[in-house]
Amino acid sequence: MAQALERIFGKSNVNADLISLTSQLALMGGQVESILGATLDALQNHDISKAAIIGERKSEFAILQQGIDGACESLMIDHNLNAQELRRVIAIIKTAADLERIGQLSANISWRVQSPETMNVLPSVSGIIRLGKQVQRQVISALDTLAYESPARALQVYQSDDDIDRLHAILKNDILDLMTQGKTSISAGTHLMFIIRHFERMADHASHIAESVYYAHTAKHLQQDISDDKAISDSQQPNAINNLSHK
Amino acid sequence: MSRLFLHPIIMITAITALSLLIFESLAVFGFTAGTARAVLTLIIIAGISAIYHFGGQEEGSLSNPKPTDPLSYTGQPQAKIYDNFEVAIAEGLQEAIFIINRQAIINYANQAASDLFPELALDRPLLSYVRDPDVSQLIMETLEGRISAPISIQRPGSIDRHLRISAAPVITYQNKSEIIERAVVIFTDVTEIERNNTVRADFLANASHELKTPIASMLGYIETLRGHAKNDPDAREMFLGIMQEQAERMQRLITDILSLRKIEQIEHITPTERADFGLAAKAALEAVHPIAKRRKVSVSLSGKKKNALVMGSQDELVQLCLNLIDNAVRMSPPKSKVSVKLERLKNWIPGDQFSQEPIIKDIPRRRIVTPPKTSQDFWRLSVRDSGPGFKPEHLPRLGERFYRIAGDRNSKEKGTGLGLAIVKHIVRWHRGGLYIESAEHHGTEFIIILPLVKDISSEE
Repeated sequence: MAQALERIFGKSNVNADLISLTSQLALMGGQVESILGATLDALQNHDISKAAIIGERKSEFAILQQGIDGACESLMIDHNLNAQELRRVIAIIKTAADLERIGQLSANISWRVQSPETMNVLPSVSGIIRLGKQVQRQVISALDTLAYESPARALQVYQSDDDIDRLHAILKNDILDLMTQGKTSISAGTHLMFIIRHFERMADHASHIAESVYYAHTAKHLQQDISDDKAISDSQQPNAINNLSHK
Repeated sequence: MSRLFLHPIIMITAITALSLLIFESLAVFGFTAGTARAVLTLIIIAGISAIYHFGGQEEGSLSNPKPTDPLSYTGQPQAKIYDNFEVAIAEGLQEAIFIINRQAIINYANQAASDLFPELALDRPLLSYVRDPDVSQLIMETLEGRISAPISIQRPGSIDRHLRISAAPVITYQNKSEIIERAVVIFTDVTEIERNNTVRADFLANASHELKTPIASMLGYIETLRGHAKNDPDAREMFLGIMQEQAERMQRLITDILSLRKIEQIEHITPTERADFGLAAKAALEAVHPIAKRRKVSVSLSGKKKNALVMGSQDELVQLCLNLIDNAVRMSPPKSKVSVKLERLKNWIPGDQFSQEPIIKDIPRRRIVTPPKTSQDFWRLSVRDSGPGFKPEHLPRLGERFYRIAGDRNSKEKGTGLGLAIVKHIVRWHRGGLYIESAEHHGTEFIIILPLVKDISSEE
């Protein structure tokens, strides 16, 4: 009976714990957003010293992630979770891992622009900042998806990843062009190549967060749903988001 | 009366009393304690589900707001009358106001708050919507009872927003000691002010930067002329030529800055005079004739050449056509064509294709200015060149002041970077629209539509 009562009265407790876990994750998200913003600032203003400071922040996200993992663990031990709650906890664990990657990639970018040569050639590939800003928007939207618990938003985030991949492909060619211009531009070009690659990876992690949120709230896999959706309505191409909200 | 009966607290009390009664009576009838507890559990479950079913939906639910209770209501679009003074004030303010509890969970949000964060839900942590570390710091300090200075944050998104955030603890007294159960957090949207400031600062910085280069080079030549080139007539001639070029460039820049400023000042006043778009295009064409000849570019004007009347200023229209055609000629390779066309568009609405064939299929297009009124007749002027075209990623930035494409640096005849910005403002003043279609390696077409004014003389 005690267990049965806990199943009833313990509910609010699980919910409160889940909300505090969400807060903790949001705090980590805020840290990641701030390092990404700072990185973009340093790139835009050619601020080498700022980049150097950000480059040092590599390891702090792993600690945040461990904190969230630990909290998830104790939540799962303390409560008898139902399927929906369990999915939410899984989504939180996955998201924390993605956020850790995004934070670290951001620190890596700053670490790469510390050399003056890289900073100097940066303006010649004008799209890099644009790519960075687009990725930043993507990360913010992914975290918003988490806040609003909205599968429709998750789908939107997932779909805009294509734009970023396209921009990444264009920039790759621009950088290759730059590298063929002279021996001096080869090392800087390599750094730039890594930078756009890091940005592209960050966007992938953002889509991943969107996928986790979608899974937590619909118990379905986003990729699967999109391919099903395409199969049904290939000819008339209505907005996939509308379709989902009608389901 | 029935609402009072369904109130959760009353329901719970009633159920508890009832269950105790049954528990006692079951014991009397000789049930074991285990069986009795099981029956009791069933009754409690039934009771609680009844509460959830009848009364539970009202608490903290967005779909069913109670305007009189500040802790369960969040703004809905329709006008409401509040019998609670504080809520009425909060709802009337333009600042977004949140009341949060000790766990920073939103208990109340006013209308402005739900405008700022659409789809906001109560009973969720505020920090999951605003994740800035500075904000979480501020909120933690406030919940500890400290009053911190307001902070400013930037929220990047499709529209970058600048927010100013302040917070204050709600202090209550219990047994003569202070306790903080809640805090008020206020968000002020300062995006417009911030943006105006950056635009002004950028403009000043850019203008002085643009003037710095020609002045520095002129000073250099003057020094040389006074120094070792003093008695060298050939060098003197050459240097004076360069100096003249630089001075002309500065003059062009200042003229552009001044005309931009002039247009900006009158932009909000609807023009009242009539002007002839066709004559303006013709005048501009004649003005660019010499440079077109020098660059071996042929320029043609087709369509209506006279009596294409619009409300506006003739001088500004000439400047608009001149900027566009001059730019097209400069961008074109030798022996190519620039075609200018003026046509009437009937009852155009946004999204309608412009009747002309595009340069290539699925050409990237961008709206730089959209006309305030649609579904009317327009004059459409299109200027098409077969120059290098723009890469798609440059299109969003065209029309920005001093924006020049990085690859354009080595071109000999450097523009001021203000030409299109001026065109943009002139079009806006004339209540028209400005569009660009451009494909890299294929060419660019600028399309301007201005509202048509009926020509009385031709209708007779």
